[in-house]
Amino acid sequence: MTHERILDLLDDFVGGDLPPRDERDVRRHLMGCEGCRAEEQSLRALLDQAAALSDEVAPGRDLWQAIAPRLQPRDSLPREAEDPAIEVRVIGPRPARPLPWWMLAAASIALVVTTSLMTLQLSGRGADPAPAPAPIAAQQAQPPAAASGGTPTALAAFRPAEQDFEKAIAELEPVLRTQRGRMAPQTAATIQANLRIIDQAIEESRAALAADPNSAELTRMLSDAYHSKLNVLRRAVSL
Amino acid sequence: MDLTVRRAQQGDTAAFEQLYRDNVGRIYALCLRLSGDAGRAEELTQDVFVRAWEKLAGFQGRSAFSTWLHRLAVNVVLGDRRSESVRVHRVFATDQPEKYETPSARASDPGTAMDLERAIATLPPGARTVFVLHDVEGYKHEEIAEMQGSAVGTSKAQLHRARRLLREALGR
Ligand SMILES: [Zn+2]
Repeated sequence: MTHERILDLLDDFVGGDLPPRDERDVRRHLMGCEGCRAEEQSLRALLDQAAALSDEVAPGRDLWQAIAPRLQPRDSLPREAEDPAIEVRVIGPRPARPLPWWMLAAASIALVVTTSLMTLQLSGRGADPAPAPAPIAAQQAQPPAAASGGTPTALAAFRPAEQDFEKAIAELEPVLRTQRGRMAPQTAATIQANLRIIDQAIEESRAALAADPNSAELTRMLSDAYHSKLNVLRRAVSL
Repeated sequence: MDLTVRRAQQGDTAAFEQLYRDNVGRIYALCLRLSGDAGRAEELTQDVFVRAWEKLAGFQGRSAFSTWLHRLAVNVVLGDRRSESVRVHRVFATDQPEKYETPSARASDPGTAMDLERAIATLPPGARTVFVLHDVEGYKHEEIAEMQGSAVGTSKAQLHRARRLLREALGR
Protein backbone atom coordinates (compact mmCIF):
# COMPACT_ATOMS: atom_id res chain seq x y z
CA MET A 1 0.00 0.00 0.00
CA THR A 2 1.09 3.56 -0.66
CA HIS A 3 1.65 6.06 2.15
CA GLU A 4 -1.40 8.01 0.95
CA ARG A 5 -3.56 4.93 1.15
CA ILE A 6 -2.30 4.17 4.65
CA LEU A 7 -2.99 7.72 5.80
CA ASP A 8 -6.50 7.45 4.39
CA LEU A 9 -7.08 4.31 6.40
CA LEU A 10 -5.60 5.64 9.63
CA ASP A 11 -8.87 7.12 10.90
CA ASP A 12 -10.57 3.76 10.71
CA PHE A 13 -7.44 1.97 11.88
CA VAL A 14 -7.16 3.83 15.16
CA GLY A 15 -10.90 3.39 15.65
CA GLY A 16 -10.57 -0.38 15.20
CA ASP A 17 -13.02 -0.21 12.30
CA LEU A 18 -10.93 -1.79 9.54
CA PRO A 19 -11.62 -5.23 8.11
CA PRO A 20 -8.95 -7.71 9.34
CA ARG A 21 -7.11 -7.79 6.06
CA ASP A 22 -6.71 -4.00 5.77
CA GLU A 23 -5.89 -3.83 9.42
CA ARG A 24 -3.04 -6.28 8.97
CA ASP A 25 -1.71 -4.40 5.93
CA VAL A 26 -1.73 -1.11 7.77
CA ARG A 27 -0.03 -2.63 10.77
CA ARG A 28 2.71 -4.06 8.60
CA HIS A 29 3.25 -0.80 6.81
CA LEU A 30 3.47 1.09 10.07
CA MET A 31 6.16 -1.23 11.36
CA GLY A 32 8.36 -0.32 8.45
CA CYS A 33 7.45 3.34 7.87
CA GLU A 34 8.52 5.98 10.30
CA GLY A 35 6.56 8.78 8.63
CA CYS A 36 3.21 7.02 8.78
CA ARG A 37 3.96 5.83 12.29
CA ALA A 38 4.49 9.41 13.39
CA GLU A 39 1.09 10.27 11.89
CA GLU A 40 -0.50 7.41 13.73
CA GLN A 41 1.01 8.47 17.03
CA SER A 42 -0.04 12.07 16.52
CA LEU A 43 -3.58 10.91 15.81
CA ARG A 44 -3.68 8.68 18.86
CA ALA A 45 -2.36 11.48 21.04
CA LEU A 46 -5.20 13.71 19.85
CA LEU A 47 -7.78 11.01 20.55
CA ASP A 48 -6.34 10.41 24.01
CA GLN A 49 -6.60 14.10 24.69
CA ALA A 50 -10.19 14.20 23.44
CA ALA A 51 -11.12 11.24 25.58
CA ALA A 52 -9.56 12.92 28.58
CA LEU A 53 -11.70 16.05 28.27
CA SER A 54 -13.87 16.56 31.30
CA ASP A 55 -17.33 15.04 31.06
CA GLU A 56 -18.74 17.97 32.90
CA VAL A 57 -18.28 21.72 32.64
CA ALA A 58 -20.06 24.02 35.06
CA PRO A 59 -21.83 26.94 33.38
CA GLY A 60 -20.70 30.39 34.46
CA ARG A 61 -23.94 31.05 36.30
CA ASP A 62 -26.87 29.17 37.77
CA LEU A 63 -29.11 28.53 34.77
CA TRP A 64 -31.95 27.13 36.88
CA GLN A 65 -33.04 30.68 37.67
CA ALA A 66 -33.79 31.17 33.99
CA ILE A 67 -35.23 27.70 33.45
CA ALA A 68 -37.74 27.52 36.31
CA PRO A 69 -40.01 30.34 35.07
CA ARG A 70 -40.20 28.68 31.66
CA LEU A 71 -41.63 25.41 32.99
CA GLN A 72 -45.36 25.25 32.38
CA PRO A 73 -47.56 23.31 34.79
CA ARG A 74 -47.59 19.68 33.78
CA ASP A 75 -51.35 19.46 33.10
CA SER A 76 -51.24 22.44 30.73
CA LEU A 77 -48.75 20.67 28.47
CA PRO A 78 -50.02 18.70 25.48
CA ARG A 79 -49.96 15.04 26.25
CA GLU A 80 -47.46 13.41 23.91
CA ALA A 81 -49.06 10.56 22.03
CA GLU A 82 -45.75 8.94 21.31
CA ASP A 83 -42.21 9.02 22.51
CA PRO A 84 -39.95 11.69 21.17
CA ALA A 85 -37.78 10.38 18.36
CA ILE A 86 -34.82 10.46 20.67
CA GLU A 87 -36.13 7.63 22.77
CA VAL A 88 -37.16 5.63 19.75
CA ARG A 89 -33.66 6.15 18.47
CA VAL A 90 -32.02 4.97 21.64
CA ILE A 91 -33.80 1.66 21.85
CA GLY A 92 -35.46 0.85 18.59
CA PRO A 93 -35.65 1.15 14.83
CA ARG A 94 -34.69 4.34 13.08
CA PRO A 95 -37.29 6.95 12.25
CA ALA A 96 -38.47 6.48 8.69
CA ARG A 97 -37.13 9.72 7.32
CA PRO A 98 -34.44 11.71 9.07
CA LEU A 99 -34.57 15.43 8.43
CA PRO A 100 -32.32 16.21 5.46
CA TRP A 101 -29.53 18.64 6.19
CA TRP A 102 -30.73 21.19 3.69
CA MET A 103 -33.98 21.60 5.59
CA LEU A 104 -31.98 22.74 8.54
CA ALA A 105 -29.87 24.89 6.27
CA ALA A 106 -32.88 26.44 4.63
CA ALA A 107 -34.41 27.14 8.01
CA SER A 108 -31.36 29.18 8.89
CA ILE A 109 -31.25 31.15 5.66
CA ALA A 110 -33.58 33.86 6.81
CA LEU A 111 -31.45 34.48 9.84
CA VAL A 112 -28.20 34.58 7.90
CA VAL A 113 -29.76 37.07 5.59
CA THR A 114 -31.23 39.12 8.37
CA THR A 115 -28.07 39.32 10.43
CA SER A 116 -26.02 40.19 7.39
CA LEU A 117 -28.35 42.95 6.29
CA MET A 118 -28.63 44.25 9.82
CA THR A 119 -24.88 44.57 9.85
CA LEU A 120 -24.94 46.42 6.58
CA GLN A 121 -27.46 48.85 7.98
CA LEU A 122 -25.54 49.31 11.19
CA SER A 123 -22.50 50.14 9.19
CA GLY A 124 -24.39 53.05 7.73
CA ARG A 125 -25.04 51.71 4.28
CA GLY A 126 -28.63 50.77 4.92
CA ALA A 127 -31.67 52.26 3.29
CA ASP A 128 -35.37 51.94 3.99
CA PRO A 129 -36.60 48.40 4.36
CA ALA A 130 -37.80 46.79 1.18
CA PRO A 131 -41.52 46.69 0.48
CA ALA A 132 -43.34 43.63 1.70
CA PRO A 133 -42.90 40.70 -0.63
CA ALA A 134 -45.76 39.45 -2.76
CA PRO A 135 -48.18 36.99 -1.21
CA ILE A 136 -47.39 33.39 -1.87
CA ALA A 137 -49.78 31.59 -4.12
CA ALA A 138 -48.77 28.27 -2.65
CA GLN A 139 -50.70 29.18 0.45
CA GLN A 140 -53.90 29.96 -1.40
CA ALA A 141 -56.81 27.67 -0.78
CA GLN A 142 -57.51 26.95 -4.41
CA PRO A 143 -54.61 25.56 -6.38
CA PRO A 144 -54.75 25.70 -10.16
CA ALA A 145 -55.33 22.65 -12.28
CA ALA A 146 -52.97 19.79 -11.81
CA ALA A 147 -50.64 18.42 -14.42
CA SER A 148 -52.35 15.07 -14.75
CA GLY A 149 -55.94 16.14 -14.31
CA GLY A 150 -56.17 14.26 -11.02
CA THR A 151 -55.56 15.72 -7.58
CA PRO A 152 -53.37 18.77 -7.95
CA THR A 153 -49.95 18.31 -6.39
CA ALA A 154 -48.43 20.83 -4.06
CA LEU A 155 -45.73 21.30 -6.67
CA ALA A 156 -48.27 22.08 -9.41
CA ALA A 157 -50.09 24.45 -7.08
CA PHE A 158 -46.87 26.26 -6.35
CA ARG A 159 -45.89 26.68 -10.00
CA PRO A 160 -47.65 30.04 -10.64
CA ALA A 161 -46.09 31.48 -7.50
CA GLU A 162 -42.73 30.19 -8.61
CA GLN A 163 -43.15 31.97 -11.93
CA ASP A 164 -43.89 35.20 -10.08
CA PHE A 165 -40.78 34.73 -8.00
CA GLU A 166 -38.68 33.98 -11.05
CA LYS A 167 -39.98 37.05 -12.85
CA ALA A 168 -39.25 39.34 -9.92
CA ILE A 169 -35.80 37.83 -9.51
CA ALA A 170 -35.04 38.21 -13.21
CA GLU A 171 -35.87 41.92 -12.96
CA LEU A 172 -33.68 42.51 -9.93
CA GLU A 173 -30.58 40.55 -10.84
CA PRO A 174 -29.40 42.87 -13.65
CA VAL A 175 -29.94 45.86 -11.37
CA LEU A 176 -27.77 44.27 -8.73
CA ARG A 177 -25.07 43.51 -11.29
CA THR A 178 -24.83 47.14 -12.33
CA GLN A 179 -24.72 48.29 -8.72
CA ARG A 180 -22.17 45.79 -7.50
CA GLY A 181 -19.29 47.85 -8.83
CA ARG A 182 -19.89 50.69 -6.41
CA MET A 183 -20.51 48.55 -3.35
CA ALA A 184 -17.88 47.96 -0.73
CA PRO A 185 -16.16 44.68 -1.61
CA GLN A 186 -17.19 43.19 1.72
CA THR A 187 -20.83 44.11 1.17
CA ALA A 188 -20.83 42.62 -2.31
CA ALA A 189 -19.19 39.47 -1.00
CA THR A 190 -21.75 39.12 1.79
CA ILE A 191 -24.60 39.44 -0.66
CA GLN A 192 -23.03 36.95 -3.03
CA ALA A 193 -22.44 34.47 -0.24
CA ASN A 194 -26.04 34.74 0.91
CA LEU A 195 -27.38 34.33 -2.60
CA ARG A 196 -25.23 31.27 -3.07
CA ILE A 197 -26.63 29.59 0.02
CA ILE A 198 -30.15 30.45 -1.00
CA ASP A 199 -29.69 29.21 -4.55
CA GLN A 200 -28.45 25.94 -3.20
CA ALA A 201 -31.48 25.67 -0.95
CA ILE A 202 -33.78 26.45 -3.87
CA GLU A 203 -32.10 23.86 -6.02
CA GLU A 204 -32.18 21.15 -3.42
CA SER A 205 -35.67 21.78 -2.14
CA ARG A 206 -36.87 21.82 -5.73
CA ALA A 207 -35.21 18.48 -6.41
CA ALA A 208 -36.73 17.02 -3.26
CA LEU A 209 -40.13 18.39 -4.22
CA ALA A 210 -39.86 16.83 -7.66
CA ALA A 211 -39.39 13.50 -5.93
CA ASP A 212 -42.17 14.12 -3.44
CA PRO A 213 -44.50 16.56 -5.24
CA ASN A 214 -47.24 16.44 -2.62
CA SER A 215 -45.18 17.56 0.32
CA ALA A 216 -46.58 20.75 1.81
CA GLU A 217 -43.51 21.01 3.98
CA LEU A 218 -41.17 20.94 0.98
CA THR A 219 -43.32 23.47 -0.82
CA ARG A 220 -43.05 25.76 2.16
CA MET A 221 -39.27 25.32 2.23
CA LEU A 222 -39.02 26.16 -1.44
CA SER A 223 -41.29 29.13 -1.03
CA ASP A 224 -39.24 30.38 1.93
CA ALA A 225 -36.06 30.05 -0.08
CA TYR A 226 -37.49 32.08 -2.97
CA HIS A 227 -38.77 34.58 -0.50
CA SER A 228 -35.34 34.93 1.04
CA LYS A 229 -33.74 35.40 -2.34
CA LEU A 230 -36.19 38.08 -3.32
CA ASN A 231 -35.65 39.86 -0.04
CA VAL A 232 -31.89 39.82 -0.39
CA LEU A 233 -32.11 41.15 -3.92
CA ARG A 234 -34.59 43.89 -3.05
CA ARG A 235 -32.61 45.07 -0.10
CA ALA A 236 -29.32 44.81 -1.95
CA VAL A 237 -30.47 47.01 -4.81
CA SER A 238 -31.85 49.56 -2.36
CA LEU A 239 -28.47 49.91 -0.60
CA MET B 1 -37.78 3.98 36.86
CA ASP B 2 -35.95 6.39 39.11
CA LEU B 3 -38.26 7.93 41.69
CA THR B 4 -37.02 11.46 41.04
CA VAL B 5 -37.78 11.06 37.33
CA ARG B 6 -41.26 9.78 38.12
CA ARG B 7 -42.00 12.66 40.45
CA ALA B 8 -40.80 15.12 37.80
CA GLN B 9 -43.04 13.40 35.25
CA GLN B 10 -45.96 14.03 37.56
CA GLY B 11 -45.20 17.74 37.62
CA ASP B 12 -42.92 18.10 40.62
CA THR B 13 -40.57 20.96 39.75
CA ALA B 14 -38.42 20.36 42.82
CA ALA B 15 -37.72 16.86 41.54
CA PHE B 16 -36.95 18.29 38.12
CA GLU B 17 -34.57 20.79 39.67
CA GLN B 18 -32.73 17.83 41.19
CA LEU B 19 -32.47 16.26 37.74
CA TYR B 20 -31.16 19.57 36.46
CA ARG B 21 -28.49 19.74 39.18
CA ASP B 22 -27.42 16.15 38.52
CA ASN B 23 -27.10 16.61 34.76
CA VAL B 24 -26.35 20.24 34.00
CA GLY B 25 -22.56 19.83 33.92
CA ARG B 26 -22.70 17.16 31.28
CA ILE B 27 -25.31 18.91 29.18
CA TYR B 28 -23.55 22.26 29.36
CA ALA B 29 -20.23 20.64 28.36
CA LEU B 30 -21.93 19.13 25.33
CA CYS B 31 -23.61 22.40 24.32
CA LEU B 32 -20.39 24.33 24.85
CA ARG B 33 -18.32 22.05 22.66
CA LEU B 34 -20.94 21.77 19.94
CA SER B 35 -21.61 25.50 19.76
CA GLY B 36 -18.09 26.74 20.48
CA ASP B 37 -19.54 29.68 22.37
CA ALA B 38 -20.17 30.01 26.12
CA GLY B 39 -23.11 32.40 25.86
CA ARG B 40 -24.82 30.32 23.23
CA ALA B 41 -24.17 27.20 25.27
CA GLU B 42 -25.99 28.72 28.26
CA GLU B 43 -29.03 29.45 26.09
CA LEU B 44 -28.95 25.99 24.56
CA THR B 45 -28.66 24.35 27.97
CA GLN B 46 -31.75 26.21 29.13
CA ASP B 47 -33.61 25.16 26.00
CA VAL B 48 -32.60 21.53 26.56
CA PHE B 49 -34.04 21.44 30.08
CA VAL B 50 -37.22 23.26 29.09
CA ARG B 51 -37.66 20.80 26.24
CA ALA B 52 -36.94 17.90 28.56
CA TRP B 53 -39.65 19.10 30.92
CA GLU B 54 -42.12 19.27 28.05
CA LYS B 55 -41.21 15.83 26.73
CA LEU B 56 -40.72 14.08 30.03
CA ALA B 57 -44.22 12.58 30.03
CA GLY B 58 -43.26 10.60 26.93
CA PHE B 59 -40.14 9.18 28.56
CA GLN B 60 -40.78 5.53 29.30
CA GLY B 61 -37.60 4.63 31.09
CA ARG B 62 -36.34 2.19 28.49
CA SER B 63 -32.99 3.95 28.55
CA ALA B 64 -31.38 5.75 31.47
CA PHE B 65 -32.72 9.25 31.98
CA SER B 66 -29.22 10.69 31.47
CA THR B 67 -28.95 8.88 28.11
CA TRP B 68 -32.35 10.13 27.03
CA LEU B 69 -31.48 13.67 28.10
CA HIS B 70 -28.14 13.57 26.30
CA ARG B 71 -29.74 12.50 23.06
CA LEU B 72 -32.38 15.16 23.42
CA ALA B 73 -29.63 17.74 23.93
CA VAL B 74 -27.88 16.67 20.73
CA ASN B 75 -31.18 17.02 18.88
CA VAL B 76 -31.79 20.47 20.33
CA VAL B 77 -28.34 21.71 19.39
CA LEU B 78 -28.35 20.20 15.91
CA GLY B 79 -31.90 21.35 15.34
CA ASP B 80 -31.00 24.85 16.33
CA ARG B 81 -28.87 26.27 13.61
CA ARG B 82 -28.85 29.77 14.93
CA SER B 83 -25.35 29.39 16.27
CA GLU B 84 -24.18 28.16 12.92
CA SER B 85 -25.97 30.94 11.09
CA VAL B 86 -24.19 33.47 13.20
CA ARG B 87 -20.93 31.72 12.43
CA VAL B 88 -21.68 31.63 8.73
CA HIS B 89 -22.34 35.31 8.98
CA ARG B 90 -19.08 35.87 10.82
CA VAL B 91 -17.23 34.11 8.07
CA PHE B 92 -18.86 36.36 5.54
CA ALA B 93 -18.31 39.44 7.61
CA THR B 94 -14.58 39.06 7.84
CA ASP B 95 -12.18 40.05 5.13
CA GLN B 96 -10.10 37.03 5.97
CA PRO B 97 -12.36 34.00 6.01
CA GLU B 98 -9.29 31.77 5.80
CA LYS B 99 -8.47 32.79 9.36
CA TYR B 100 -11.65 31.14 10.46
CA GLU B 101 -11.31 28.12 8.23
CA THR B 102 -7.85 27.15 9.32
CA PRO B 103 -7.05 27.43 13.00
CA SER B 104 -3.50 26.52 12.01
CA ALA B 105 -3.01 29.97 10.56
CA ARG B 106 -3.22 31.39 14.04
CA ALA B 107 -1.85 28.48 15.95
CA SER B 108 1.33 28.38 13.96
CA ASP B 109 2.20 31.82 15.26
CA PRO B 110 4.93 31.33 17.81
CA GLY B 111 3.78 31.34 21.39
CA THR B 112 0.08 30.80 20.73
CA ALA B 113 -0.35 27.18 21.67
CA MET B 114 -4.06 26.56 21.97
CA ASP B 115 -5.47 23.95 24.20
CA LEU B 116 -7.83 21.40 22.77
CA GLU B 117 -11.02 23.07 23.99
CA ARG B 118 -10.14 26.34 22.33
CA ALA B 119 -9.01 24.58 19.19
CA ILE B 120 -12.33 22.73 18.98
CA ALA B 121 -14.19 26.02 19.25
CA THR B 122 -12.37 27.40 16.22
CA LEU B 123 -13.24 24.47 13.95
CA PRO B 124 -15.70 25.01 11.12
CA PRO B 125 -19.15 24.05 12.47
CA GLY B 126 -19.60 20.86 10.48
CA ALA B 127 -16.20 19.49 11.41
CA ARG B 128 -16.65 20.55 15.02
CA THR B 129 -20.00 18.80 15.34
CA VAL B 130 -18.68 15.50 14.06
CA PHE B 131 -15.48 15.66 16.11
CA VAL B 132 -17.39 16.37 19.33
CA LEU B 133 -20.01 13.70 18.72
CA HIS B 134 -17.55 11.04 17.53
CA ASP B 135 -14.30 11.57 19.36
CA VAL B 136 -15.54 13.22 22.55
CA GLU B 137 -19.02 11.78 23.01
CA GLY B 138 -18.47 8.40 21.38
CA TYR B 139 -21.29 8.34 18.83
CA LYS B 140 -20.78 6.20 15.73
CA HIS B 141 -20.68 7.62 12.21
CA GLU B 142 -23.96 5.89 11.39
CA GLU B 143 -25.68 7.60 14.32
CA ILE B 144 -24.16 10.99 13.54
CA ALA B 145 -25.13 10.74 9.90
CA GLU B 146 -28.66 9.88 10.89
CA MET B 147 -28.96 12.69 13.41
CA GLN B 148 -27.73 15.19 10.84
CA GLY B 149 -29.60 13.70 7.91
CA SER B 150 -26.31 13.33 6.05
CA ALA B 151 -24.31 10.45 4.62
CA VAL B 152 -21.85 8.33 6.57
CA GLY B 153 -19.16 9.33 4.10
CA THR B 154 -19.81 12.98 4.89
CA SER B 155 -19.44 12.34 8.57
CA LYS B 156 -16.16 10.49 8.01
CA ALA B 157 -14.82 13.23 5.79
CA GLN B 158 -15.73 15.89 8.37
CA LEU B 159 -14.03 13.90 11.10
CA HIS B 160 -10.88 13.52 9.02
CA ARG B 161 -10.86 17.25 8.39
CA ALA B 162 -11.48 18.09 12.04
CA ARG B 163 -8.67 15.84 13.24
CA ARG B 164 -6.26 17.30 10.73
CA LEU B 165 -7.15 20.89 11.64
CA LEU B 166 -6.89 20.14 15.35
CA ARG B 167 -3.49 18.51 15.03
CA GLU B 168 -2.28 21.49 13.07
CA ALA B 169 -3.74 23.87 15.60
CA LEU B 170 -2.13 22.01 18.45
CA GLY B 171 1.18 22.02 16.63
CA ARG B 172 1.68 18.37 16.00
ZN1 LIG C 1 4.22 5.22 5.09
